[in-house]
Amino acid sequence: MTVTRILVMLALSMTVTIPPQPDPDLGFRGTTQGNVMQLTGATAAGVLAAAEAVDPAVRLDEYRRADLCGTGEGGSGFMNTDCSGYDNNSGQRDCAGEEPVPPVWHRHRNSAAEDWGPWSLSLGWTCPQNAVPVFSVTDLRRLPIAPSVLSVQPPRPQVLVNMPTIVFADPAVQSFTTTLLGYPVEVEATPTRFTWDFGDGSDPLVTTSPGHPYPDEDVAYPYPRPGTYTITLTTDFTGRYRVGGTPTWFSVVGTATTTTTSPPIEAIEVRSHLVAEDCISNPDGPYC
Amino acid sequence: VDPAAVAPERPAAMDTVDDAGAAATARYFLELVPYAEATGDTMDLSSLAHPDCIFCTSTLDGVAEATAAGRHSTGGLPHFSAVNALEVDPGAWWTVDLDLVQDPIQVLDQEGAVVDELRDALAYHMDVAVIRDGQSWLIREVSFEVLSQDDA
Repeated sequence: MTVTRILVMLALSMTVTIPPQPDPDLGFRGTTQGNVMQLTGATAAGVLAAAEAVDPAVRLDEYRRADLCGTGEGGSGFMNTDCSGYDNNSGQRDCAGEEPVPPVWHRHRNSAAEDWGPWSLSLGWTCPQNAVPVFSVTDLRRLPIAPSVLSVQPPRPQVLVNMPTIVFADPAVQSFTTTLLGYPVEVEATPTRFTWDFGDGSDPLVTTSPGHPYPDEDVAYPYPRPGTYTITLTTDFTGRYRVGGTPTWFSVVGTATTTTTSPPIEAIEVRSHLVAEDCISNPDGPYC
Repeated sequence: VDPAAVAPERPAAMDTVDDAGAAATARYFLELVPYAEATGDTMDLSSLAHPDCIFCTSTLDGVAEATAAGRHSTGGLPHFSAVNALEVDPGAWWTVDLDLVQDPIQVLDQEGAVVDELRDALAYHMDVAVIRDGQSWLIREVSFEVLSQDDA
């Protein structure tokens, strides 16, 4: 078998093994989605809590959780429920091991003197996770996240042209306790992306590493020209949160950003000098 | 005329604050998506989008990006079935769940050449959170699940 034939066969077999192209992510599925059930579950939890807080004698809205249409803790009144739009069989959700939460039923009366209207479905099956209020990226950005502490090496206002100026940030996770719709919430902000602008017009350097001090440095920049520069560090924080006392962390969609600016740094040019003595024996020598 | 480039009509049902109004709002919003992708006109779409709506922002960003690159799409019209609205917070918050099938889509460049294509109609189940903000309806969020193509 000649080399040419082997190459032809190789080429043919490669053509055959090219996998089919996956369908492009066009249409609705190409879109980033939010979590409607989580938002709605949190809203429903708030509505139920607010309704419960009103004296039963005068309340105008009542809510009940009941597992099936026409039965449940609502008692005999539930037997007359309008079950339209409610599917007992398909309603059960897969809640990742947690017990699904029964649907919510609602009835209304215009005044405390009037009879209640019929029960109607207000929310279908949900997962217990859905009752957790959503901590949004807007909430994350509202937290007093401390800007990263930016360190520069060598730790002097002067650095040498063409020698690496080392930079690193404090990668510490920041923790917060806050409240959201009355829930105590723990939040953690983790710096995950660092954008270093060395201030001399060069493209900013983007890293996932916070950088490290000498001799483990992994983020450094040699200034090519003399001048006075300030380094600006932009840090992106991702967030996660959980309701106080619960084990499950939820991710915040989106990031918060802080900015840190270094004091001015002077990059200087140094010429080589041949010297006979070191700086200790001759402190007045060049660049001592 | 490309049917996707014809502006969908605002449903009269959106004038009433009830389950039907919320359901009509969800449908109208989803009809405006292929229209915006075909024409770059996002005015009605963005007026229905709540600022915190991740799906809405992603859709609007996608249209802006395609428009900037000189691309537009054709097709992608949704066909709805089983639209069901529930009033979770009276007068304020509805959840609308619906099934829809989205038509095949072609992405075209400035010369009209097809640069990307989805040949199959796709079936979705969607949950849409629709809220009442003062005198207007807003889409608060959209979640979806792609059903298998056999369901289409």
